[in-house]
Amino acid sequence: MLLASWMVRQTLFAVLFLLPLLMPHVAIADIASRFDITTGTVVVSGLDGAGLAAVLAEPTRLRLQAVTVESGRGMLVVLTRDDDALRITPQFPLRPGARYALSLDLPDGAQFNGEIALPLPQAAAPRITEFAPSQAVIPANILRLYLTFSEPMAAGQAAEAIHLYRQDGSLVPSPFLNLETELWDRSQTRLTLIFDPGRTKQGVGPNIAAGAPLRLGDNYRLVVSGYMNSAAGMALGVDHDSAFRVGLANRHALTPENWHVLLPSERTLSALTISFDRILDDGAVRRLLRILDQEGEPVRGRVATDGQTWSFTPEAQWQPGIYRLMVDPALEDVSGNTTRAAFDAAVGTIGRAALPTFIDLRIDEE
Amino acid sequence: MSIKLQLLGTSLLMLAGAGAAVAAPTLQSAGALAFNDGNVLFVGDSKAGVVHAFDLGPEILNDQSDFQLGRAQTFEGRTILNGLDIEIGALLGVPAAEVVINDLVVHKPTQQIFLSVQRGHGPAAEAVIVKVDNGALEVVDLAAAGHSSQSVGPVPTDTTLEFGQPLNTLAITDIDFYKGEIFVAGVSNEEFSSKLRRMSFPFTDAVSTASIEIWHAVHAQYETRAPIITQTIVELNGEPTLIAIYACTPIVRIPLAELTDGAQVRGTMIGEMGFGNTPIDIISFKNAWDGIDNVLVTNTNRSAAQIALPALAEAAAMPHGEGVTPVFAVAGVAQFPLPLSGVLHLDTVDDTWAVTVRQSPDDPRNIQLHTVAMPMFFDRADHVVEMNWTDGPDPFGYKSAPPVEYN
Repeated sequence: MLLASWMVRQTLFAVLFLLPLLMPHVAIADIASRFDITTGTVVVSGLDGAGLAAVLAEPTRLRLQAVTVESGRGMLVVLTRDDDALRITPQFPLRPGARYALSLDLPDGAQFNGEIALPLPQAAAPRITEFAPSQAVIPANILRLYLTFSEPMAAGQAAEAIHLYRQDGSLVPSPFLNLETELWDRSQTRLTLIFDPGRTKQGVGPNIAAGAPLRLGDNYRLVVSGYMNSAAGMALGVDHDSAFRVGLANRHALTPENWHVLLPSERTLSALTISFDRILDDGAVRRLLRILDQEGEPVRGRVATDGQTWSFTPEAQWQPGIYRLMVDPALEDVSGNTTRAAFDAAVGTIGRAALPTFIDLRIDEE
Repeated sequence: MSIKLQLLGTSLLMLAGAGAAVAAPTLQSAGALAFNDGNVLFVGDSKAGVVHAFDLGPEILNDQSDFQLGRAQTFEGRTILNGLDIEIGALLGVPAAEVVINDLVVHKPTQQIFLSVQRGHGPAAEAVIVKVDNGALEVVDLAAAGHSSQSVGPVPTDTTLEFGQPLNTLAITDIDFYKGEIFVAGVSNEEFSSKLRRMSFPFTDAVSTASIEIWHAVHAQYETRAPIITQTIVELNGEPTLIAIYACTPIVRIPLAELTDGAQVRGTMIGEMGFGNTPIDIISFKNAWDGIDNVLVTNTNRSAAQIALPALAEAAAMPHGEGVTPVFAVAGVAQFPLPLSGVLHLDTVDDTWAVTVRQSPDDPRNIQLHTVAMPMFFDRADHVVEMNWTDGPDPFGYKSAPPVEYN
């Protein structure tokens, strides 16, 4: 009786022990895949020694791919053994919000299938925070517009998503230069739109045949479609309008001596303010105006500008004496005019040496 | 079985860069490509504001001379790959919509094709160089290549940073190598500058920046500046000459000798590409049928144009000055339109073949890596012509030619 009971127990143990070998799908049930967030890798556990050896020797047994990819090929990965587990290191990081399918052909002919879903972190919907120039009236021969977004945006959408409309609601056809690459800053929060220079410049074929994109006295709306996406895949949500009216074209070289400078008092941290006789390029004016101290060194401080006025708040107090305003020859107004020449210059007038212009700023002792 | 991991509430920012075993840390973006006369691949990196030079060794370069490119006799190019963007995306683990193919260049000694590719559209998009090895795509391990670089764009310094985050960038639109020097064109996002950067290779610290100003003959009484979009250097009557195409599409000829450091140069405008159009690239090639050298200009909005070098050399400056009647469309030096629409990128492989990244004529959603026979740049299969019909005439015996079988 005791012996019989022992034999039954042993048989049951033997069957239980052999079961995984007899029924391979039970072995697959032990296999699990998970995403290891600290290393950005995928770990496959539960493989037996034969399975692990087989896939390391023959990596094509494994395929890891985003489910949205319409190709039979797996993404590039490096496979390593990590104790009893298989570690899959993608050569390019798996992306938040994406789902990946993992398949693994086991030596016994069975296939393990797993899915890895990376959560999408909460991302803020983008907004347009700035449109430059911000003035209500801008010159008919404007060269550049800037759009600033609250979030880094996805490049490649501008031609589809940004349109210019006349006041009657009609579309201005292809007003902007259709370069192969869009002109974003490094953070992809500011986009530069350049009006097709062939249409803006006087007397060029496009200008005469298609006309300048903007007509004096007319109202326009630059519309950014609500479907424009941030880099994190969030849409603007609503169309964004920037309205402006078109004023007289400006076809004269920059004349810094005509700018109006409001000097601060000595031994203060007050702002030095310059009012321009026109709208300067919003991007260039932040960078290409400098205040130099008595030694010719740039004064450190913060700039605030809307293109029409420019104010500079120093970090250290103004000292009595002569400071100098340095105007870089590359500085442009919104119409591309520089200190060297108007954008459309009379023949033979471009080519003056590209030197900065200096304006003396005398801060008097009180 | 399916296992879904939920890692809610955990920041995935740490993922950026994790496990990126191949992407060389030096490449922030990958745009315009060019080879020197050896094995050095130049990569325009607009984000970093530099041109990289990667000296590719034999572990990267693979001879492709056994790879058939098509049958030129019957004007049959070879589709090396369909769904090029899908297949590159598969290597990178992203759908085709997340793949941007920025440029294509062929390493002439091995006939190997290289592509500059971007993974994603955000500021953190990874940049990679992909090569084609006997029809198969591979990501190039740039860590295995010798590396040097030269700054060309605005470099953030203390003085710019004190005024806030610098926003100005230079989008590098073209790089050309000529006799130990490279020429780099680009468009600034804050200046309408016509600067052309000229630098010797191997790189020194000096970048001579030639400021080239041009007449626009069609302006009648005006002259102006504009960024060069693409350029090539050719010899016209034995004189090395830069042929440049500007943003508003004039074609300009400037002897290289005039492009000295800081020079104010007026190029001779010899033609206009027409408006509503932006050039993509200009390359030079020899017509093997008549031995005449040419340049070929690919465009965003119109078919490619071929211009013979003798015509470039002889072209008179377009008239300018008071009383000149403006030109409305394509004008100046004789241009020969080529049947190359839907071509996104193009380079020559040898004297017979060019390779393109193009939209399939049958389905523009299908991005193909496809060869075209020179000098006609004509692929018989792309066109509805009588000689393609089963019962149509066959004066040249195209149909009697056996179907092409590729290795």
